[in-house]
Amino acid sequence: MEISPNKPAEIEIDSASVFYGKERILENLSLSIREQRIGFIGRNGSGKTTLLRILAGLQELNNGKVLIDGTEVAKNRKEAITKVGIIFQNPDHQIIFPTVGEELRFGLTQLGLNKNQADLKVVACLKQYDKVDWFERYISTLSQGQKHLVCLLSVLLMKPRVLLLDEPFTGIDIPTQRKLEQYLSSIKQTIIHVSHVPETFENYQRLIWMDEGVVQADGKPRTVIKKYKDAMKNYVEMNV
Amino acid sequence: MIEKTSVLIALFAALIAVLGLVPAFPLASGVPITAQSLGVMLCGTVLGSKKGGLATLFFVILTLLGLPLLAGGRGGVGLLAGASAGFIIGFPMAAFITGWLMEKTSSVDIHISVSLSSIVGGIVVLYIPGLIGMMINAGMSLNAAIVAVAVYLPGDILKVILVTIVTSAIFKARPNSIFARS
Amino acid sequence: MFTNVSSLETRLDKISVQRKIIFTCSAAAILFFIKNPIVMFSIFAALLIIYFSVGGFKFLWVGLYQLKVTIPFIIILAFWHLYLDQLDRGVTLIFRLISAFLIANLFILTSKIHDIILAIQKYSFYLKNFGINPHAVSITIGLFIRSIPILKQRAKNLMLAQSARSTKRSFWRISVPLAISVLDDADHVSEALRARGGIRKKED
Repeated sequence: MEISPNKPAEIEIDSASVFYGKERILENLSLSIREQRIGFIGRNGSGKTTLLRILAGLQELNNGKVLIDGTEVAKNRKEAITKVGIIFQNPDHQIIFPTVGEELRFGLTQLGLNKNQADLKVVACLKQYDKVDWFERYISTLSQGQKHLVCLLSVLLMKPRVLLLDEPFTGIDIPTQRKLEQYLSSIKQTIIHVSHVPETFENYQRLIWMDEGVVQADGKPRTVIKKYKDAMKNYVEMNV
Repeated sequence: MIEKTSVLIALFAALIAVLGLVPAFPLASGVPITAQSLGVMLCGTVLGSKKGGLATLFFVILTLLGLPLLAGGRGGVGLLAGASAGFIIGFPMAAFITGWLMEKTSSVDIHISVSLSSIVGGIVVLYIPGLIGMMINAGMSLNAAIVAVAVYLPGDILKVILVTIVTSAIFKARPNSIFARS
Repeated sequence: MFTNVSSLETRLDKISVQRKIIFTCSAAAILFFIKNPIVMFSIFAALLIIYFSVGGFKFLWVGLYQLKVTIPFIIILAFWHLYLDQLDRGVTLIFRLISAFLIANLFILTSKIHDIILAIQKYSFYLKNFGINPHAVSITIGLFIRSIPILKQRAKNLMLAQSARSTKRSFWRISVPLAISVLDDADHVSEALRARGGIRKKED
C-alpha cells in the first residue's frame, strides 16, 4: 500500500446525536481525533457501532455533524468514500460479488476508474499479498479468514484516509487473526477500531471507552483499559 | 433506496433458485412438484408487487438465458417448448398480482391477506398461462390440460399454507420487512 | 456451475455470446411455426449433424444426454397422441421439444456462464432507455450469483441445526429462519454497498 501523506486525518464529531424513536443512542457527542491508531471499547449496546456508522457516513444524524478532513461524510457521499472505509464483522454481510477480482475491482470503479485501470491495480495488490491466483477465484471457496482478507483489501484499494473496523476479528482463529493484524499494522492510514477485547488496543495511541452512548474514559489505552476492567468487574458483581 | 431494492431483488431471486434445489417430487407428467413456486409467492407476499415482480422476472430471464436455475438444474429457451413453459412465463405475473393483492388488503388480518393473495396470485393467475402453455406444447385440449395440471393443485395448496405461515412469522418478527404492507 | 457444462472445446466457443443468443432465440421461435412432422424431424436430424460437426461424437453424446430432462414429457406426449390417434401432431410436438432443447443447449454448452453474465451486464446499458438503471442491473446480477452458494450453505446449516434438535428433518421447518435471514442480509449488504459509494444514478 502506498504511504499516505504525513499528516494524519482530521476527524471532527460535533455535537452528534442519533435517536431511534424515544431511544437516545448518541446524544451531543463531540470528539476531535488526530491520532493514527484509535480504539473504541464498550459493552454491546454502548453506542460504539452507531458511532462507527456515523463516522462512515452511513447513519443520518438527528443533530450535529461529522467531518473527516473537512468532508461531511453523511451528506457528501462521493467525497466521503475517498476519505473513509469501513469493514464490518461478518464478511458475508459485505461481500457483493462472486469472484475476488470483481469484489476488489468494485471500489475502484466506484471511484471513477474504468475496468482495465481498476484491474491493473487489483492485480498489483494481489501480487503484493502473494495471491495473484485469487483474481478468478470464487469467494465462496475461500475460508473465513481469507474472506476477511478480501474485505480488507477491497476497502484498502480505495485508499481511504480513515479505516473503520467493526470487531473484524470475531469468529476467526488466532493464527489468521495474527496475520490480519500484521497486515493492519503496516497500514499508514488512520485506523479506528471497535472491539470489546481490551488486549486489541495495547499498541494504540488512544482508547475511548463508551457506555450508554456517552464517553466514560478517553486517553492512553493502559489507563482506560484499567478503568474499563474495573467497571466491568463491578457490573458483574452487581448483577450476580 | 435503490441499493435496498437491488439487494432485495438479487436475494429473493437467489432464494427462488435455491428453493429449486430442494428435492422435488418427480411426477410422470414431466413437471415436478418443487418448492420454487413457494419462492415466487414469497416474492409477492413479502416484497410486494413491484419488487416481487421484478425479482421473479429477473429469475426467469436468467433462467431462459441458460443458467441452470429451474428445479432439476434446467435452463435455456428449450424450456419454452416443455411442460413448464406456461408456468415459467406466468411466474412474474403471479408474483406481481400476489403482491398487488397484499397491498390492497393491508388493513386485513395478515393470515387472510396472505392466503387470499397467494391463492389468487400464486394459483389462479399462475395456472392460466400454465394451462395455455400445456395446451400449446402438449397439443392438449383445455379439458385434458386441466386434468394434467390438476395434479399440482394439492402441492400448491400446501405451499399457500406454508407461505401464510412464513409471511406471518416474518411479519411478527420483522414487521417493517413486509414491504407489501408498508 | 460456471464452466461450460460440457468441458469439451467446440468450434462455437469463440463466437460471441450476443450472436449466439440472437441465433438461438430466432431459431427457437421459428420452430413454433412449423406444423409439418417431416420438416420438424428433418430439423432434428440437421441439429444432430450440427452437433457432430461442432464437436464430434463426444459433443453429440453430451448434447443428447442433456435431453434427459425432457423424457417424462415426451412419454406423455407419445401416449397422449397415440391415444388420440394424432401421430402427426405428436411427432411434430415431440421433435419440436427435442429440437428446442438442442438449439438452446447448443448455446449453453458452448458458452461460459461467466461470459453470458458479462454480456448481460454490457447490454443492460441499453436498458437506460426503458428507465432502468444499468449500474443497478450489473450489481444485482453480481449479488444474485454471489448469494446462491451462501443461501445454499445456510439452508444446509439450518437443517443440520434442526437435526441436532429433533428426529424430524424437513425443509419446510427451516423456511421461516431462512426467509428471515435473507431479510436481515438485505439490510447489511445494502449498507455495505452504500459504504462503498452505492449505485450510481442513471444520469452519472
